Amino acid sequence: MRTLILSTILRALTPLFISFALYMFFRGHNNPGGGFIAGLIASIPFMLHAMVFGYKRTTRVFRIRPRLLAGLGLLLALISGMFSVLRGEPYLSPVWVDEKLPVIGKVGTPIFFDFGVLLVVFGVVLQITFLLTEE
Amino acid sequence: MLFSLLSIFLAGLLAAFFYRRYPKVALPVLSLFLLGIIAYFARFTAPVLQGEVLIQEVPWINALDIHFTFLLDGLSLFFALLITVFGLLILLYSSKYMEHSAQRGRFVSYLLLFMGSMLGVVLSANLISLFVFWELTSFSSFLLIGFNHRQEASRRAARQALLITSGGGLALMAGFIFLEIATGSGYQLTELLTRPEAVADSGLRTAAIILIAIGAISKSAQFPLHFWLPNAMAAPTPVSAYLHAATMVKAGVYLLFRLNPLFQEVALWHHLLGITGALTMTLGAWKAFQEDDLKRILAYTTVSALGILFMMVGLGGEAAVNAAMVYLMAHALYKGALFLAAGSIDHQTGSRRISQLSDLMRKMPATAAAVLLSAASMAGVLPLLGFVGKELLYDALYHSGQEWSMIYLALLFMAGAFFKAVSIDIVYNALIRKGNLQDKTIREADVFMAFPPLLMAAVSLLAGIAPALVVEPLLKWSAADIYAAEPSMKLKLWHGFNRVFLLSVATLLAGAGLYVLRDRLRQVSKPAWLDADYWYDAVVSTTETLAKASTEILQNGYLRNYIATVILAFSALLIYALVDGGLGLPRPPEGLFNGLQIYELVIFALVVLAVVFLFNIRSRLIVTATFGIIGYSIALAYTLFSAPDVAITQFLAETLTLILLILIIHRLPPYTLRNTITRIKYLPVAILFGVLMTITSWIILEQDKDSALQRYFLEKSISEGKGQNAVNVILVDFRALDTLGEITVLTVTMIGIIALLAFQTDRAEL
Repeated sequence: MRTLILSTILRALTPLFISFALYMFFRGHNNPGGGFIAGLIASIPFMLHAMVFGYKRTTRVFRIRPRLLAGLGLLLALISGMFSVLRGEPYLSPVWVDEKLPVIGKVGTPIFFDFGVLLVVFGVVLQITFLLTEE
Repeated sequence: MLFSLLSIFLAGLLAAFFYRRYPKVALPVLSLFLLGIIAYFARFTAPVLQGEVLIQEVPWINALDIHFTFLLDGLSLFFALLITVFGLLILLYSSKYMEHSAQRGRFVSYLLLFMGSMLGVVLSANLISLFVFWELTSFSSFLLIGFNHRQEASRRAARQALLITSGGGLALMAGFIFLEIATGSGYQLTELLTRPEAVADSGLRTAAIILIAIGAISKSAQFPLHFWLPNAMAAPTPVSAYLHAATMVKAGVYLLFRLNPLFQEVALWHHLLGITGALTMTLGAWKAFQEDDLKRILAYTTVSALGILFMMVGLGGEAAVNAAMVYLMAHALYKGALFLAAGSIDHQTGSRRISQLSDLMRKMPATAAAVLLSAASMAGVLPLLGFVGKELLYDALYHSGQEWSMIYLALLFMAGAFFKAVSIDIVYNALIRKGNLQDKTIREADVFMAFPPLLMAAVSLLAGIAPALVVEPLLKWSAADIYAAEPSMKLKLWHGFNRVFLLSVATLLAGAGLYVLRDRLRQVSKPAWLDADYWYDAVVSTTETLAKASTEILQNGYLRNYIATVILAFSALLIYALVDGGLGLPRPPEGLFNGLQIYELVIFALVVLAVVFLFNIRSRLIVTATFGIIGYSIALAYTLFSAPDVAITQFLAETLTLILLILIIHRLPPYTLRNTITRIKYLPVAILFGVLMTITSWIILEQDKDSALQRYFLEKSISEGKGQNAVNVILVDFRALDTLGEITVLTVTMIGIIALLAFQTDRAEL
């Protein structure tokens, strides 16, 4: 499905989508957004890419296997819950760094957990897309 | 104690990586480590022999009152030492036996996994952790039986053992839960054992006894679940010696010993165990007598010996328990040695059929000595520990006033005679007889393989000569823990010429007689249905047939049927909840249409139009697009009713579903729902579900909007979750475990899709 319009604007859209996804991710704690939504948004340009250019070209651009990302995300979410265990609190209790960092704001394990969610969603959606577009 | 267990599991994990590559380093390190563990437990002998009971508690799940509590009394210590010392000997033995196996690292790893689990069973003072370790032993036994997984026989035996023992484990768990309901002791064994009257009053005692007995029967291979043990001989021989003779199969007996104080006043306990044990003992001895394969002979005598132990618990009383304890020790020693020796013989000669063996006395003198001593102990010949045990058994049965004791005694006499016949068979035909191995060059087994059985046999002898010195101190306290009284065991080798000794002599003569007649007796043929394996296969294949039939009905390959089934089942539950909750049919909430805006009506109309339109479409692409309209309209509604998170998710999900559908739409078969009847068939389902969901929404709307939960989450999301978006804080913080579960499911789904698609077209690449 080669369309000139889509293939041209994809170039511009891809970084936009990714920055928008990151924006949605980081604002998620205080405003609508979060890892799940960000993961879905981030996967859209690559889905479109696969649709337009076909599986082979997409995997040439996108070198990492998406299922690896999904696994890494799950691992990250799992590990983020361990910090509280080390402090003797129940698994998955949040642990926050007391001082605020510039730009990002407060840092704590929920951010890593949410990023794990992002990676899983991103990886799963892309993996399925790649499988379906592969001829 | 927790750390000793954990370190064994850790060692198992490490062994899997290092043992295969660096056996020269790993073996001494592991041996030293196990020596350390043995020393650690041996250190406790002094206090335990004073009658002390050591308890260690490590909190685990506070909310459920489940903890790792460890208990070390005479009984636990005896088993702990048995497990660790045998473990070390088996490890040394298998270092040579498995030398050429490519999987030896895995083997040692499984062995250590088992050792840790078994130690956990005998040290646990909490029923839940005991159960967990119990199941772990079944699991490691499964891995070890199926170690030669290329052979169908091994795989079948492993599956069978797992099915039987873990099935029994479920019964056991139910029994434990009943005990907990009856006593409310927080699954603590120490507290539980002091309250037999609470169990009796609860009315759950009979059920608990039966369930626990099923667990023990399955684990210790008692009739009618005995058949997995002979089949488990598919495992490498060191495993048979360790798990299926000396330790794991005794877990059932251990459990009976452990819970004996709780039930020792109950007739059902005595009769159930006594009769099961007596039957198993007789059957096992008879079957052992019929076999020619050394390992199978030993397996059946093990079944029989376990039957004896069950029977003695069933007999009850201090004398019976003392006898059982001594016999258990004697059995572990001689059976472990015999198994290991059988392994060496198999390793050196390539056969373990008695009819093909001969001359081993001259070819493999050290192994033969171990076999001779151990077989003598099995036969109960003076002056070995087996003799002391057998005398005590006879004595306990003879002097017990229990109603069944004379029948038990008669059966034990028969079983004893078979044991003796089997022992004579092994010793004469495999060791002494001059036969086909006479001219072959057969070397003695490696020192690592010859030493462990010889050591065990030597201990059998030493303990037999001076039982009061060697085994009495510890066994005395172990036995005392079983009947919960002061120790009363007094061991000596020679009790003088009394009736019991005469009985022993008579058994020996009967055994010799049986041996002479064995060819004629072995010819007795029997129908297939008398074989327990026959029934096992029947049950398994019936289950498979039923499963296949039900699968064909439920999983018929039509997605629409699956969805209809799910929706109908869900509707049934919903209707039940509505009727049961007395909610009935609610009226639409008050003021449902107040403040209705025109754009809300537009959205509503859009959805309704799309649904109506859906009925007349003949193309998949347009169906997809129409569904998109419905989805986006609903997402729009979410936006209007201030649920932005849900709305964004809905928008994205709609978009992505659309893209995915478009990707595959050309691969889908043509639209099949052309038939009017098929289309109408699902109409009632859809209407029913729609009505039910409407009612449910009404009910939800009528609930108090200002619920405590809502307030809690809104308040805490800033103070504790440090975020203003309560939805997201709930997702990643308050209910993070749910989210973790969800993303796990998502990943698993992905793996499933990969498998499905890759399987279809054989594309392993992606």
